[in-house]
Amino acid sequence: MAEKSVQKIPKPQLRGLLASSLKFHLPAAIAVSAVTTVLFKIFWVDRRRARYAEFYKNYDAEKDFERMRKAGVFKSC
Amino acid sequence: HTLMIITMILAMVLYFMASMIINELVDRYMLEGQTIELMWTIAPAVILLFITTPSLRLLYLMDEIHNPIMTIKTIGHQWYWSYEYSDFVNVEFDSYMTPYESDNKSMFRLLETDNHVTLPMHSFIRIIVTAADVLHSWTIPSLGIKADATPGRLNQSSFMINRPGLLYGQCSEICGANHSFMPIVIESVSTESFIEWIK
Repeated sequence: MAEKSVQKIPKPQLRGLLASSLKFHLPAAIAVSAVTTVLFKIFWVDRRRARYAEFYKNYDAEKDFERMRKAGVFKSC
Repeated sequence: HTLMIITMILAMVLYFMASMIINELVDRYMLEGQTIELMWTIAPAVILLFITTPSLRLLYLMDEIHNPIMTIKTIGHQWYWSYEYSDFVNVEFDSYMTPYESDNKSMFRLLETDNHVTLPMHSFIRIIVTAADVLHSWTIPSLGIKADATPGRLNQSSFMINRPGLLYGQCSEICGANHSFMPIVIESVSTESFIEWIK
């Protein structure tokens, strides 16, 4: 028999695979959803609110009404 | 707020789906999972609580008494709307859909009417909706208003218009053959123009 040094591999994990997978994936899922929500809030919700605020900051409804009236939009005036 | 919660749930579900696609482990003998069943019952209940609380607050805020400066009544018929302004002078008129003219480029098909509902802007207005024959529904999407017109019942709603212009809506309750052909047009005008018109 040839003398060969046998390399032993470490014993693989045989039990509790779901628990050990969850230990990584559950916090990762929570982190991913939290980051997505925060990014959505900053880049969508807040930007939309800012666009509305910008529009109404210097909006003159009477001037807009006069412009529409002169264009013949209204039937009543 | 609800969109943010939906985004959060969607991101989490997509992550779990992706991790299941990559996952090489299979449990051939799995029969039950009490813990996960408990988690996926309690977690949606908690999420629903987070959705309900601001929603209830908004519901009660919407019931706030505004002291409207005027009240208009709208009555749904087959197949037109009639309006009554009884506060100052008695003004009543019917509003029929204007048939589409293909050579008139400035006209919206199925949305124009012969008489518009003229209302002043920046004023709280109460609208009382009812019907003369069958169920109808008075809707203006750009104002976020929808009120069912039920025969024998008066439904009240209130709103305030911030901007001048024409606001369109359509009947939103099936009411017969011409249900799609009874639109609503509101003309939001300045208070002076409204007073001139109503005289």
